[in-house]
Amino acid sequence: MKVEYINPFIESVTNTFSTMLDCDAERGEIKIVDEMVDPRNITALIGISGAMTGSVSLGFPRKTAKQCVEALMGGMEIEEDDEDTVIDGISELVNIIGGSAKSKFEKDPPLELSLPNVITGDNYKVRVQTGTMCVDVVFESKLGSFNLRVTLRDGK
Amino acid sequence: MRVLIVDDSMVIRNVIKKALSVGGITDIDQAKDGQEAVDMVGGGDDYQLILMDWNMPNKTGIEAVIEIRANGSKTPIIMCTTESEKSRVVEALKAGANNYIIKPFKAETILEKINQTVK
Repeated sequence: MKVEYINPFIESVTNTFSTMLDCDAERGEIKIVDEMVDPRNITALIGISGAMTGSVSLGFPRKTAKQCVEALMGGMEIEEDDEDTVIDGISELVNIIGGSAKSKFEKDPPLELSLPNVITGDNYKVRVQTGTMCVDVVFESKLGSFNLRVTLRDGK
Repeated sequence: MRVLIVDDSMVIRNVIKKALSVGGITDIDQAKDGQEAVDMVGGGDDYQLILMDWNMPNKTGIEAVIEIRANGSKTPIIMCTTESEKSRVVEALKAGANNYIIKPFKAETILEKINQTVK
């Protein structure tokens, strides 16, 4: 993965949070990792295919995920045990961010996105494809911190 | 105005529903995928507007648009999707969609697009 491939995804996170959550998400540390060794409680992941292949994911602590979805819904409060709504909203967030970013690569035909997959739990590890670099970006916001993780390489 | 919102995300259906209510539109039905939308619309024009996501399980939005038009419905359809490449927009318009909203969107954008589309 070329490191500059991360830029459309960072722009997309910032734009999506300001447009739909009325929240500034500020980019923090960027790291290159072999695997997602410190996944948050909720990870929403989408596969990318076509002329480039890889994945984009967002990892949130449970509380931050809930607050982000509440902000997405215009401040509507979500019940503490309503995990389905949180997962639905986080899935849509990664879908919007992935979709918005992929268009910036201007591939013809356009890159394809899978439907989102969501992993929840307190102790899990997400490994990326062997030989693929993963760029991990921390974001800070008034709703809490979260991670954007992208793997992407040219070719199928 | 009777509106059908088609999106596999319940959260996004609620976001759109809230945006429509600001514009006084409250007669709203919802479908969670393209197949459900095709079944609800049939070949008729009971709805005055359909807001259609693209990437959904069972049947995509673009497949649903093609089928709804093939069934004879002339109801205006606005795609509401992350698929923002020019070729996608052209594909949707050729299939029979009337307008296009790109996610992420601001709530007021939905009402603007509806005003452009439904005369």
